[in-house]
Amino acid sequence: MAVIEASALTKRYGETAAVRGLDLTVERGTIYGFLGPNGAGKTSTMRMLTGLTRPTDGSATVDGVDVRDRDELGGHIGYAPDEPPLYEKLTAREQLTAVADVRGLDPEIKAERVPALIDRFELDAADDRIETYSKGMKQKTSVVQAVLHRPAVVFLDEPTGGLDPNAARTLKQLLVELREGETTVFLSTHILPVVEELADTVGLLYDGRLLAEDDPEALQRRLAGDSLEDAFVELTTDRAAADAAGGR
Amino acid sequence: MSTGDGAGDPTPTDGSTEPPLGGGPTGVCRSAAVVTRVTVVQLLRKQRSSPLLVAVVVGFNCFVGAMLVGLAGDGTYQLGQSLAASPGSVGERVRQAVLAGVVLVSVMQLLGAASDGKAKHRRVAFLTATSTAAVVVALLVRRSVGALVLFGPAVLAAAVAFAVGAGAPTSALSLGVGGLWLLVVTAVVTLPFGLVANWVVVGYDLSSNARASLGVVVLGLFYLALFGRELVAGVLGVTPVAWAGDLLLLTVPGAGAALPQAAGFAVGSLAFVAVAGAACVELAGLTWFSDPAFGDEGDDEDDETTRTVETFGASLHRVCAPRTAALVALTWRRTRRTPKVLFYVYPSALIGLVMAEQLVLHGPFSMAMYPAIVGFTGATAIGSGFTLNPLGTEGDALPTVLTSGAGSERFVRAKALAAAVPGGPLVVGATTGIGVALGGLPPVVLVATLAYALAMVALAVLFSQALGVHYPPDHEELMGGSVKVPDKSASFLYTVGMTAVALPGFAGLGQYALAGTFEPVVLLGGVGVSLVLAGGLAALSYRHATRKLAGYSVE
Repeated sequence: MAVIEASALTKRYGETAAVRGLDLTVERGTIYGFLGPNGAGKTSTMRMLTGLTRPTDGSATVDGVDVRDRDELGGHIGYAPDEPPLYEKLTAREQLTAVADVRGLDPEIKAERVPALIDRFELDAADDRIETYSKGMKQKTSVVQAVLHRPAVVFLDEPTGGLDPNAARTLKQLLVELREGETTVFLSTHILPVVEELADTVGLLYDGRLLAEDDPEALQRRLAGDSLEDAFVELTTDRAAADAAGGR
Repeated sequence: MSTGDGAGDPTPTDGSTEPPLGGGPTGVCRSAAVVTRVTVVQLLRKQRSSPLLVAVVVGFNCFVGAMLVGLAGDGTYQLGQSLAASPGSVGERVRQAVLAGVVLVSVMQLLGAASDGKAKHRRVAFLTATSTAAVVVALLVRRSVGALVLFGPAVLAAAVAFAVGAGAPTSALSLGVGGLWLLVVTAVVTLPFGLVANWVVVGYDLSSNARASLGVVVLGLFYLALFGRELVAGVLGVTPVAWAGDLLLLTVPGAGAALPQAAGFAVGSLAFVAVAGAACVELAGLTWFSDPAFGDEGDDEDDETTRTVETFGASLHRVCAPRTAALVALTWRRTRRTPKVLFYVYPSALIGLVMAEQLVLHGPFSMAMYPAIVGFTGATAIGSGFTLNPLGTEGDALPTVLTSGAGSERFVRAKALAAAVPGGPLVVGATTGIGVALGGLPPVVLVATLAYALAMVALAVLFSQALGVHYPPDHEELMGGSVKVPDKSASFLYTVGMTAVALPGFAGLGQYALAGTFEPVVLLGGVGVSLVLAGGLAALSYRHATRKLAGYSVE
């Protein structure tokens, strides 16, 4: 059953098209690896799917909610962008508690989950202000914040960037658990082994278009590569060469 | 890697080393010129690229120019006429006016210099590339150019008006050039004091409370200097600073200017500029490179404050939805730790002081005007904080709020409550308290004032958001930067809007303060119009703010 459905989704910034008629279907309870080179349109796509950016054209729903209805959409999603969206002057504990309250989480559930997630992600400085955190600590807080309310879909943009190996492993375990709990994880990252290890489906975005979509192994077989990295390089390099030959 | 042909290779091929930018006197001059050019171009482009800012600068110049020239009351044109009618009669008056002007501009420059410490990030790129001296020179030139842009045209207009009034064209020369020179001198010699203020704030890692107290003290000093300028000018009149009058009157025939004093001031002020510049280099080193300058802002919060916020937050659950209360409590906590979001509250408070001085202390109105002044300026101050920039003050966390499902209506209501709950009772209480303390105020006037203050508070917290949701337009800074204070143009538009709505009520209440008896039609009519306008605009503002927020797209 599809939880994300996008049809001809388009985003233009003036004359520049960041996403060009994207058609996308993501099944519930899966991990979707969203790959692409810098500037491919991944962040624009994620922003559209989370309601932060209005699509110029096309349509999309997440968990049955139109992405243009941001107020309604918020209850169904969690989002951890590459720049941790945190209040620098709060502590991690205050941030998580405040976000839980703003989301209307039951006080008992909040009292149980916040400390549990803090422990699990080893947020040792949870009572220090976020402005004193390293990039990795901020990233962990951001991810915890995104999954705190157990949304139907979690959008994670480069979640492993800045994480130490222990935290990265904890995150991967959490993603698997989320999937088992029927939560869909929409994962954008440049760290291909993570996608290769976890993703059920991989979508490769290039120049605002979905170039290929399959499960990681099938994608490798199709392109006769040894790894997802080979497939990525082959696809994007070929496409770039074709674009250059076409005079684009 | 070298390309072999030297193109793009920073290492000279003859084995010599390139002298670092800013090394030696020639290097300092060269890099100072470069940094100055970049700094001034940035300043002028910033002004030019914002039509609203240009309008504010032009409007300010027109206002100050009209006052100086004498379009409203006596000004330089009338002084010139007096000189023509009776040579020798105006010299002393010009000297006094010049000194009062120097005091005023110096205080304003001092405030600007003291608040410039926050601009450290603008300087970092330069400070890592060239010498401190070069950056200080650029900063001094920038301040001078800023002063000349802001006041220069008005000063020149005043000089020309004097010359026209006196029928002596040469008068404009010393008045104009001397006036511009005074602007430059005040811009330069006040910077060391501003740096000292920054050094105290940064070096001693003052808490937000201490900073706020310091701000109040500085504003108090500003107020004293503003309204005691004639007294200060009298004190300065017996010092060499008074020779500034001789410099300005040098080419005014029959004004009795003394050439030695004029020359003495010119040379002395030049020496002061040089000394101030040297002092700035030393002080800049202390302020900009001290360890705390690159640390956090040192805001603190004791347990008592935390408990107070939590208690208030818990109480809010009884009067509004839990999610709204959570947003309110979150806003309070953050405001407590980031008091700079209240930056524009101070000017509104200052406007209140100025109005009290101009309208009551030295104006035609009785003290019965005080409650209305407090009601209006207090309400304006309430809306000048975070509600004036509701998106920008969320800083990096904006995506969290937008994707939380809290909803735009809840967000706007929460921001309004966060400002109105502590601010409203303060303003309404002060308005009522002063009204009662004055004694003898008819109940109908008191009630009308109270209603007026309430309506203005309600308008302030919603109207400011309706304007504020349009700022800041620069999403990169919004998404990647820290909390921003409201945009200047938002503050300006907001003040204009609040004033327009407040005027009828102010006039109605002013009629009583002026005459001592009230005309029911004027009082109730004026206040009534303001209430209706405030109610209507508040409703429209709420609708606009929520719609704009619901449709907000991070581009």
